[in-house]
Amino acid sequence: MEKKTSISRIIGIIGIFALLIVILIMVIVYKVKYEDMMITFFKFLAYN
Amino acid sequence: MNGLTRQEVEYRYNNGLVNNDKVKYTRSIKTIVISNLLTLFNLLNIILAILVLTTGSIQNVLFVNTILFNTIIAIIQEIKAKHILDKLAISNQDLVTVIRDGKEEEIKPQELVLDDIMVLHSGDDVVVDAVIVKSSSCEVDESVVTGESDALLKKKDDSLLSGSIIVSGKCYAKVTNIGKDNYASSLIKEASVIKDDSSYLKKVINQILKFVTFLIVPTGILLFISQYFYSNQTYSEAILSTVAGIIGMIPEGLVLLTSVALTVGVIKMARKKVVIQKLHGIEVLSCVDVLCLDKTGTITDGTMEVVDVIAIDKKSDIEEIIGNMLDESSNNATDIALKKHFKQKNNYEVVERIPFSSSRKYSKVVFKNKTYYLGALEYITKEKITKYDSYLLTYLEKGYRILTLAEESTNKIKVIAFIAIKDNVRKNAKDTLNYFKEQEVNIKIISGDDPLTVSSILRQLDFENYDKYISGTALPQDFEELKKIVNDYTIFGRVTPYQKQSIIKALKENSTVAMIGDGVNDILALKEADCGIALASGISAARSASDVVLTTADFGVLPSIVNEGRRVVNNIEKVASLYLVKTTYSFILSILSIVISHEYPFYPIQLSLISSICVGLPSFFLALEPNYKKVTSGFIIKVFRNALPSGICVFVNIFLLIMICTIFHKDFEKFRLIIVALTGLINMRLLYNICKPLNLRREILLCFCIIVFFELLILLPDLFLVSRFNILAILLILSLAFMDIYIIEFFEDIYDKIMEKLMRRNKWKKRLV
Repeated sequence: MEKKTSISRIIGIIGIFALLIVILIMVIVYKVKYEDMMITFFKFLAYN
Repeated sequence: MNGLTRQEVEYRYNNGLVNNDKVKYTRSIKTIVISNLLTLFNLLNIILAILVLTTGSIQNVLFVNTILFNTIIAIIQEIKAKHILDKLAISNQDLVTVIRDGKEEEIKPQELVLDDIMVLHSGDDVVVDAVIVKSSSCEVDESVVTGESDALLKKKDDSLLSGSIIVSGKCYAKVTNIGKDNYASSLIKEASVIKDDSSYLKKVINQILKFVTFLIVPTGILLFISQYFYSNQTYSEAILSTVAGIIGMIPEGLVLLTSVALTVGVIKMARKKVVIQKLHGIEVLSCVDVLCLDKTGTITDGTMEVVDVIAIDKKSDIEEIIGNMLDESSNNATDIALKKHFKQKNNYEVVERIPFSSSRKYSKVVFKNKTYYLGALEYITKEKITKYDSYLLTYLEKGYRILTLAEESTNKIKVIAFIAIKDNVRKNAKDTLNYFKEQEVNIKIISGDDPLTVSSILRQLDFENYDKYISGTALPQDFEELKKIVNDYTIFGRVTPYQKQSIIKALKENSTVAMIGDGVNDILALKEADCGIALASGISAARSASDVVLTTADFGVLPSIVNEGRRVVNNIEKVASLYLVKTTYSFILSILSIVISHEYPFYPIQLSLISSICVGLPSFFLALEPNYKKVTSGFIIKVFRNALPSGICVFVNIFLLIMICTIFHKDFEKFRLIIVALTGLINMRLLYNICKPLNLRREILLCFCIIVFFELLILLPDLFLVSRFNILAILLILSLAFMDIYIIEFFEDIYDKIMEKLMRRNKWKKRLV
């Protein structure tokens, strides 16, 4: 059980890093500015 | 005696004076079709389909196919089961002997007409109320009617109530009541009211459905308002989103699967000559802890054999005496054994004949010169059997019954011989008892016989605890006292029908109890037990009071019933979580859409794809697989342990994707492919968990589902309203899928911790287990 949990944790962490890398690629490809991202994000939160 | 003429019978037929109140084992085809068509969920689905049709989006109405398919399968399966069960019921029907036109003939009970003359022999059921017109020492057991187990001597003009049985002698009786007017009909109706016969599985699933139904209407209305007024969607888009939210919440396939799995179980059992009269019987048997047996007809096959004749008075001609005592009309098991061993003779002139009765425990024949008794020693001479230990010990130790032959002369009764009779043990009795021992099911023998005899039979079968027996006379009257001692004994001998019922009631306090019986004295116990099992060879009232009827009169078939029940319950438990994942995430996503006024992430057609390929298809294969593990409690806890974490994970994915979509100002339509693919993968992960341990069949099933699911997404993107696969979609799907593995386990851990805390509270434990 312990072993299984640690393996899935490693896979999960790999997944999170992979997701972050994909987002980073998207930032580069779509040329989105960091400030714009944050503004949209907080606007989204505030609106809802 | 001439009985009715053909014309008189015909007249009664034409005027409806016929006994056509037959016991129905199954529902009519019309009722089956109507009950399967007119369900709450079919109605809901049709309303939703009409709403979708108003939008003009034909492909989104495809979910109706599933409902149609479900309904047709359910109807076909139930009709198939009905045909098999009806056939069994007909072949299992007892015939009644009547006199018509001066001749004896055998007819079905439902062909009896008012005023018919029935010929009733020892062992016959009285199927309709009647009045005796001629009797030869006819004794009747009316315990089912009066609760009094002593047989009553019935003379001319005495009434016979349906449900009673002829214990000895023979009589002619005129039918006085037919159909619903019969005493037994009202009794059977009463018996069916006592027990709630709905299946536990169905009950749990109905509870979930009730909860879902309660949520559907307000959630649906709020979802439509949020989609139409706040999410800037057109009418068509808002309707499609709302319908997708609602159909996602209904686990309609689960209802169908439960019915089909149970019906398939009933069909399989019917092929083994077992009639499941009430669906819950098959489930209860799967989790039975205690199995109560009546010795006669269960462990033993009901036949007897004379093993030895032990002469005490060497001068008497035992063969001659017993040969003359034997009565042609009596045909109980003991008489049959005696007739087989001793040749029937008519050398002595019979003055009076008193047949054997279970209350008197002996038969008596008065010949012109002498009187002889045959029966239990204690009741004939008032002597204890231990007095004759030197003759009988070896026979008693082997569990043989001892019949005493005694002669009465000048008011003195003298024992002249003992006859050792053996109950024939069923060939498979030992294997069946061993099976239940392996399955940790406690066996209790509750019998009207002497506890010592039962104990000896069990010893022959190497049965554990054969020495833990108690007689009915030693049982406490107080129920609380009975509860304390009932688990200490294995054999309860010489018990009355009411004591049998109390023992079952006491055992039920801590266990799930099944009772097998066939006699009139078992009816109350059969009704009291969680699952009553009757042998077809037994009386019809016992069969009516039971949940399961073994038409082969062989209790060796019981392990297969238990296994069938386990298969159904274990498999439904397994696949139920697949259906409830969809309910969980549909509900959370509806709330999310309402709260953030975002368009609903699925279209109905996308949910149809996930439901059919990732849930419906594999669940039907898995539900019919063999799975004979002992069923443990906590159905809801186990099902939601799988469903909730996966459902929450779907929500987490979609929430993240909505955020990404918003931040990068992307069109949400392009993200639907990622959402559908990820949801499918989460369902596949759950399917993989459910399939463990994997075997070739399951591996093929898993691979097949994954391949078909992605092939459909790749090949038919327009049908499923998704964009085509691209690098970004593949990268997002892969990274989120990896992340999901840990997210699901994280929520599983939280679920386990919450449940552990709830289980410590008794109030919650009772609700959930």
